[in-house]
Amino acid sequence: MSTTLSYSQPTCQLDVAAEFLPFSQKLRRAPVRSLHFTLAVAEKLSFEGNDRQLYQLKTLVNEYIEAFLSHHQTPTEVTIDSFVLRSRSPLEHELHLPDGRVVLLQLTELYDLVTVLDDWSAVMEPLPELVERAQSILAQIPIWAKSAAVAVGVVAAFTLVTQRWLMPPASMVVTSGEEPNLPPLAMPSPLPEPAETPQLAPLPSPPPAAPETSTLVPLPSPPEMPPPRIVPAPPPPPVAQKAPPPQPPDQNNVVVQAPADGAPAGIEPDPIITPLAETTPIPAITLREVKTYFQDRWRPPASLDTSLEYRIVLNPDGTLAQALPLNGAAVRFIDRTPIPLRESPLASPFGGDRPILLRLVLMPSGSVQVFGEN
Amino acid sequence: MASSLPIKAQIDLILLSLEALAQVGSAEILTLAEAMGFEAYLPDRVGLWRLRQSSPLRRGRHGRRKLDVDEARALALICSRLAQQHQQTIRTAIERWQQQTSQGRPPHLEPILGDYIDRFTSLYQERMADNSSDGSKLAQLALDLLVDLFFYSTPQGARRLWITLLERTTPAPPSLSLVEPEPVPASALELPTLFPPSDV
Repeated sequence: MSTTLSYSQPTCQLDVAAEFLPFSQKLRRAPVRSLHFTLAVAEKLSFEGNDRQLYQLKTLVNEYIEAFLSHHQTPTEVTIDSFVLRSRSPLEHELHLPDGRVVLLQLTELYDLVTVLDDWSAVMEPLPELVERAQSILAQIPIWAKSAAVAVGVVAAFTLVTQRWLMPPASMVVTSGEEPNLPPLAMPSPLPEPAETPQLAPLPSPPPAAPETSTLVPLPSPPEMPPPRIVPAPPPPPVAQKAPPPQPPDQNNVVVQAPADGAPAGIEPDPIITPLAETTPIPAITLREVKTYFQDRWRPPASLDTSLEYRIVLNPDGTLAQALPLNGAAVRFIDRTPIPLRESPLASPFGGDRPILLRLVLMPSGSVQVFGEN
Repeated sequence: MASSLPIKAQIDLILLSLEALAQVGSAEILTLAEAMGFEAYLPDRVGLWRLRQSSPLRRGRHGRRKLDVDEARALALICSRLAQQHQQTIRTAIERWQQQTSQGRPPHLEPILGDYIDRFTSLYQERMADNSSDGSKLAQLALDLLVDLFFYSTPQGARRLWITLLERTTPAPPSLSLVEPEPVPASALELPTLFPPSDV
């Protein structure tokens, strides 16, 4: 299932098409793989790339800021693969892109770039935690339960096999009792033409990966690095930015787009999602307003050490329809959050006749993320 | 920013710049410390004053107080949270600085930046042992600290601040050093101890 996550700052917009693990929503975790991104900085830069390039860009920016802050030397220069950042002065920073373009970023533009990349990486970071949690959940299952599960599995398999062997004779007994001389097939001989088969096609396809812990480990996106020092740059990206694929004209305003390959229906059992299965474009301004609302009010409790995630259902008039906690901490801390009562205004009216779904992430650092959700 | 400074001196300078730019006083710092669960390190104004006085740049004879790692971490987290809370003020100052530079004008002629630099200079000269620094160097230090604060106000600002604090305790190649830390008596470092030095 793929979703476009949008991060915006006054001079910078990052849109990332991210892929969720099929069970990541069950575990209330974040997307784990970015597929493609579009980055726009002021009106001077528009850049597209794949997940590896986005990771390289994030690494570049992080290491550059660390190097720049460490000793305030000019020029500070950091190279990651074919991305380069070099300072001209504290207020001016050159960004060299792999395609040879050089963009001069003002300090505020660099700040906005850092912020959207921070926000994005905060969503991507839970991967190791996710693996750990899945493993710990497995580890918590007592041995007797595991043995029992294996035993049940064996019995079930045995029953299935036996039934398979026993069933055909049973049905034969029934049919053979009737008319042994009748022709074996009572069906009309002309079978339906394959023209009807396309009606079966739209069934939700099965999730791409089996929900096993082992499938998590070899994901291509490496987790957040430990603080210091340069990691060896990954090999050159397979996808260069030759001719960017044509974008639909309204993409900039659409925060969440329809999953490209159809969302499996079984992943989100939440009844609210069902009437919203069609893509509802979420105005960027609504997203910003909701983010501002929470940014102004979110004061993380000192004892909080994990992010709180909520699904926010927003009425077309901008009021809160519902807020659903998506993880355990979100339940425990809900009365410490600035989530208002139902029907309280969160954003200005955005029109339309159906509510929209947003994902709200309140972090212990005090930062806030809001993105659209389908 | 003066390079190769002990962490306690760096943190004191960050708080000084926040005080000069956004009028962050001890009451705001203590309230935040309590909200973040750090009241054990910063119980009251005297505790805060003692921690800040531990900077070797400070006047008086209090610079020898040890600052342990937990205290340093708590102060670093408080600094980055303060920067995040005053992010808009910091951004406005940076934007004005960019405007001034694009017009070829010095930053101190812009009222917000001029006030900030004036306040920073006077606070620095009032509290630091080395009050003979000339105004242009102090103005440069104030602007460097403004850039630092800007990045400490990013979502991962606390991590950036902590890394910067550690990096700046090691000598840099050519340095912008404005003030030298007070010389530490050699004998103090050579004292045998059961524990690794926790003074940061």
